[in-house]
Amino acid sequence: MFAVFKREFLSYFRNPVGWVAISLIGLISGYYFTKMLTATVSNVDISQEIDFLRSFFIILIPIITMRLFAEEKRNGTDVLLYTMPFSMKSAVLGKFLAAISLQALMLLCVFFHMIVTIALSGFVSPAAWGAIFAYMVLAALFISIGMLTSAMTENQIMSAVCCFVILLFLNMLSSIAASLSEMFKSFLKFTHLFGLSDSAIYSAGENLRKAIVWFDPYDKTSCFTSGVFKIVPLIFCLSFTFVFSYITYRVLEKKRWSQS
Amino acid sequence: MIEISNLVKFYGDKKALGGVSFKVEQGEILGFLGPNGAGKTTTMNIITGYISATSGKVTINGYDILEQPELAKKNIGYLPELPPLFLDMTVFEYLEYVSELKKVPKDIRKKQISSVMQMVHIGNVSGRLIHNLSKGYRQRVGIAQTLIGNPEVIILDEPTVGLDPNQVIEIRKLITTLSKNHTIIFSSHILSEVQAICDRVIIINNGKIVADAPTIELSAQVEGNSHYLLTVEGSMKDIQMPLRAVPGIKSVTALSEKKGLLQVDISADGNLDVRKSIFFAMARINVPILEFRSMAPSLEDVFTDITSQKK
Repeated sequence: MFAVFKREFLSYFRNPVGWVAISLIGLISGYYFTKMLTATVSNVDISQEIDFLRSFFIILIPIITMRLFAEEKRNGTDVLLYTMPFSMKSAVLGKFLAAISLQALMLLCVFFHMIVTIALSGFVSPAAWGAIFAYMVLAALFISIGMLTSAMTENQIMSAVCCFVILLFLNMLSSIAASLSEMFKSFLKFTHLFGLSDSAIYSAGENLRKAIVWFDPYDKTSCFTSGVFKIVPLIFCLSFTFVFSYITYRVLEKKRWSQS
Repeated sequence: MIEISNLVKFYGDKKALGGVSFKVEQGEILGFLGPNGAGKTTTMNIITGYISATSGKVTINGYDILEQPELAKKNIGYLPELPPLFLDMTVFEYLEYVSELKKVPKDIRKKQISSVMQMVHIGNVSGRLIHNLSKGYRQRVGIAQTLIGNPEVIILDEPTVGLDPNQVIEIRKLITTLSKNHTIIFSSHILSEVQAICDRVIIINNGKIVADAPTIELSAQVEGNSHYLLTVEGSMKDIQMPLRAVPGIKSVTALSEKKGLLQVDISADGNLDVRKSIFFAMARINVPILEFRSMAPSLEDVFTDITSQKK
């Protein structure tokens, strides 16, 4: 497992990918931090900065994860993973850890900003730590999604596009939920399907919205960003991360067993 | 050492392997011969656990490849047709990665890598990126990779394809050296290559074993008939009778006839040297010989020979 992790993590820096991702985050967070710092009423809130960085997941995660398995398949190096005396599970775990470590490394510039804030006798609220926590938990979830799309195709671009579409969908889940619930409400209202009263229709629509939003990882982890720790979002993210990683493992094993 | 019984593999509806069984003993060099698409790579992929068979069983050193994969795979080094190389790593880094994957103990890792590099003569490129190496060197790095962890069985899938003649000779030499300490299965579609290296040959065609014999026996079988290519200035009518009269000649087939030039394929008994007689036969009827050479038996000849003998 460690061998795969080491190779994968170092390969981020043998290719431009790692450098580009880190400098991109450095640039964006630096810009945001400087803007907060130099505003007329200087009000530095690190948790807001991290929140802002989260919106770049949608681009960064596909770039980080697209190579993981797709490239190995394309170059034929996946033979090594299949024919060596070790389990495919360790390969999946190793690659996952490599990607999440790169994410963690990207946060280094945020730590630097924290130090600057404290040095300028500013205040780093506990919410900042919560935001970092939420950032990492979300990153883990999204990386497992990216890993899965990478395992399903030989083409990196294809993998990145699929991952991007899924992340975009998750990003828009709240607004999708809202419009779906509106549609549902008006559908009930005009068809008089179950002869429901207005208030019942309203609450049915609201419940539909809530049911969909329940799956929104951004909404789920928003409590961390405001400095509140809850166990449910953590379990939510980690269990989905596990599920996607496990499916990745099964997809890879399928190649061995497939009879087509 | 390796025991394969009744391997069947379907790709969808297509039957790639139809009941392949054989055994390989310790220290043997087994040549796996067959045309493209015969099922060589499929068999090798199944032996190494890369893919699974539809039915059948593979045991390596007594370990079933599916039931005790980790123990079985420890005994195998595999070089697929496309060497599994990471182009962004140096040779040493790559071999280190492979030895970590193969769980070579940390204290002997460096020593083993350097001895393997010495064996396949890549010590001088250990610090170079694999991306910058020539095809011959890459192939050797691929072979080095199979040797890491000192497995007893080495499986090489067409290791000489795409190399220049000098590199081919080097790789063959290397395989012969390796055979002192390892059991080797080696696939190829070139007959002479297998004849030069292997103790035993298995010929596979359409997913079935057509021949399984020591190389010497097979060579004798193949040499039963010899073929000559003859180009003369004349017509088939002129040369047919005189050639047929030469003792030892079995058949004469016209290959092409253009602008008074005739090209024929002569099949003769391998035990008799008919070359002189052919020359004089042509001289007697005043037909000038423009080209005359003996043809090495092709893989197709071997197939037709062997399959016709079976019937």
